[in-house]
Amino acid sequence: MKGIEVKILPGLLVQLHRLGAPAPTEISIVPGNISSANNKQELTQSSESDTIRTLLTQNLIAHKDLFDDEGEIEYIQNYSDDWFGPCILIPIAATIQNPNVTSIILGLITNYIYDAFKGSKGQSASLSIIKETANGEFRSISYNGPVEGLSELAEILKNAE
Amino acid sequence: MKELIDKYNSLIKTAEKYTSPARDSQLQKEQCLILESLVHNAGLNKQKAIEFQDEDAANLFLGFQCAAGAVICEIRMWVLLKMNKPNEAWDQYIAARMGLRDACRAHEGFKHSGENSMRLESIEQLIFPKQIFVSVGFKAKKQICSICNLKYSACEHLRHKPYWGEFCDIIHKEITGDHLALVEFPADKRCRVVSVNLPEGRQDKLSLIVEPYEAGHVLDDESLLMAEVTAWSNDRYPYLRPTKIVLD
Repeated sequence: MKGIEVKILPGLLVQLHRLGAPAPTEISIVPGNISSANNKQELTQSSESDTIRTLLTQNLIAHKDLFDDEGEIEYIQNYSDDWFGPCILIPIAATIQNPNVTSIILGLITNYIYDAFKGSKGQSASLSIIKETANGEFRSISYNGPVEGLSELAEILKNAE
Repeated sequence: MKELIDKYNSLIKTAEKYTSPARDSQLQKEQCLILESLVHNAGLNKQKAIEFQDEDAANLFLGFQCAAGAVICEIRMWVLLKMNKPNEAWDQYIAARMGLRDACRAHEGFKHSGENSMRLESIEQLIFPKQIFVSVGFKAKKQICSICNLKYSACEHLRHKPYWGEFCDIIHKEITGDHLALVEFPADKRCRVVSVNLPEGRQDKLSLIVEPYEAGHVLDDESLLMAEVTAWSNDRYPYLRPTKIVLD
């Protein structure tokens, strides 16, 4: 079953400031609970966060961690055959530099999951993207469903702007 | 190289003829041993490929190890079922699926392993009762790469990909448990409800055999809600376990 949830995050910049992070200027893999954590100690990131960081680096997509000690934030690993992806924050500066950057990232992730799930079937993938719009608003889209549905997210985000 | 590949393929194809409950168990065990020699031999050739700086060949030999391991496990599954050992047979079935999945990941030449995996899945539906699977969720403070032993965030390897005849995996460090969930698609189908408590004893979920409780066992309403669960399995490559250990 496919589930897509689109939300506006009006207080995200304030929340980032509260957690000691700067306003985002580059693509960043962020903790999944970044918009709801009460403090930095509560932050958790998906185990696959590091996979996506490496994937972006290998494909020359500029990205930067929001926290200096991102590697110290606890990882969550769900021991399941489903793929639990991270949360990707895409600031407006990255979209201006390359309007297709969201689609490119989703394509890379989809290809990676296809490779990782070779020889299996029926698994689902989940992923969150927080994207800054041209008017400075942050919108989050959370996806949970078949891997092939991931590619639709870029279009859904575009239409939501 | 072609000669070697043909030889390996021929051995695997011959052994596949023994993946049936109709075959003689002794002949099936012999096929398992022949394939174990193949796995050993492929391991040696993998080392040679690494010495010759040929990563593609190293991954190909890894693929042969996985594919042969899968057939070994499928044969052992049938042998164990004939031995009236459904739980052990189930583990071999899962090991066979893991071997096929790994073969697919190891090298392009094993793409067809996906079809074999689907065939095995239909066997699961035919011969094994429906299982209840569990999945563990945990938190880890560190993630280490199994290939280079560096922080997984700092290295260039990607989980599940083969590198020089070895799969990259994440080694979690400083773990704390988070939750246990019932799931439809567990990462490891060995993680399942193994038995349930009944008033008359503990019932095995596969064989339905009821084992009476030990003398003095107090059975209250709460214990009747309890089940024995295999929540975790450490053996990442069960299809490489020797037949002597699995069947004897």
